[in-house]
Amino acid sequence: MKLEINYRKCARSGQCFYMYPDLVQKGPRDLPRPLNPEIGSDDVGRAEELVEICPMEAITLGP
Amino acid sequence: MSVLNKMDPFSEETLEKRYEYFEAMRNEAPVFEAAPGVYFVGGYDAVNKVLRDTRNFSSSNGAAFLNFQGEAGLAAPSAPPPEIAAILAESVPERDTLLSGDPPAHTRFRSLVNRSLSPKRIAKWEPAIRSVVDDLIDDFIDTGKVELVSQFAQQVPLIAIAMVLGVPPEDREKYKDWSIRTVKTLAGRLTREDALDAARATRDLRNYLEDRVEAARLHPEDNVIGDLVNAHMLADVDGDEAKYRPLDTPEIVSILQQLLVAGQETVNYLIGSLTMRLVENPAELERIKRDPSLVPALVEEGVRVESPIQALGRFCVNDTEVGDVTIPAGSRVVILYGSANRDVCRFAAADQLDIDRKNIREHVGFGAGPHYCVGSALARMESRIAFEQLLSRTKNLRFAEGRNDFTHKYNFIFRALNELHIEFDKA
Repeated sequence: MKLEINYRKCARSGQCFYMYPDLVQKGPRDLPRPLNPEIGSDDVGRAEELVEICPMEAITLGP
Repeated sequence: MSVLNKMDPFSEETLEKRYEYFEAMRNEAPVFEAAPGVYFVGGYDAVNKVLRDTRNFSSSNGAAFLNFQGEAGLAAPSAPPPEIAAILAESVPERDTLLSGDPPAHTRFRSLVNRSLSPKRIAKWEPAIRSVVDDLIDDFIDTGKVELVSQFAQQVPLIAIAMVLGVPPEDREKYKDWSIRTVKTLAGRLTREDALDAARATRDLRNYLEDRVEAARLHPEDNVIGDLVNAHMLADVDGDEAKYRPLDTPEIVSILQQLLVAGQETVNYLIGSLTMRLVENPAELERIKRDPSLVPALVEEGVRVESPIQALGRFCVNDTEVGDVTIPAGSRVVILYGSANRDVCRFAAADQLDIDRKNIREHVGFGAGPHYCVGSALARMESRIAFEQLLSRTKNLRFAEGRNDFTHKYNFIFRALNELHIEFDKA
């Protein structure tokens, strides 16, 4: 599974990297950056949570 | 500090013209010591830095910096005086959960509420909220005029937050009253009588919510209260094993109290102020009316230029450099969102409503970082629906001649029009 961030929607709330620092880190200009876009099967549950809590629906998990 | 030292930031006069004060402040110093041990932070970069730095800037005993200070506008808050403590003791004890929490405990509560108020979870309320909005418009549409603040702006979030939380909407007059009385503590200056009254309202609101929580424990439903009574959060990590526990009633009451109050006293003000700005800009109004897909940008820009929450506080834990200033450990920090959002270093023509702004989502109207508004998705949705319906069902929106003075409530934290008299034709 692949984690993707749509920077056209992102509002830099930081909820992703503050709440899920093992999956996303803070990049330049307070924008999030996936630590590793490929999500292993162990992390899929947490990644789905991460997708859900983004207030701007800017994060997706796809094949 | 010439201009600033002559102005009392908590006077009614300054608060009415607060953007002039903020501008003068940013020009002289984006960070400055407004009173001994109290730092105002008003530049965009400085605000953004403080908001994201929870290690140096604590929300515990810091967020609600104006509580219980009586007449002294900037005195450091302390434990509530005995007469107020006695009133509050008649309800469940206060807990640090969201607003007044710090990581890591804050993260655990926040994680639960984030999921309850996620865009996906709240989407199911959209039809019901749209129907509430239409009912409110039905009540005034044939008269061609409306006092928008009391007849519309106050009502939309009041009913919406009740539905989403799981509080009976028919009780709304009660919790609206409690909410208005509790937030008087955020005004800036507080008489003893106001402080006592706010404590009584807080007590009554908490007792009311405690009853709702106990009822939900027996019959949990698909809403925020139902989620919270069913929730388990990390209590401890014992070796490799994480231990979870349910939330206790004072914790749930604390969360609900904040959501119920913050859910009302924000969208309410945004709808009022943003309608005023739209009526001032008939060309923009017409453009958005013709193309409702622009409403989300309107709401986003509204949160920037007419930020309902103008300020909140933090407590500085370690000496920390912000801008050119070192804020010493032990200082109180006042974060001025309303100032940061009009900082010309970040937003060109910052006082203008411009829905085409390239960096439209860079405002800090919802905060930034761990404490970023937990209800932002709901606030955006409610505001979007309110403007979609208002603009589609009316035309020629205009100010009722001679009836508006455009004054705001006396409140340091909130920016809220007292009234907005509007006339229109039925679309």
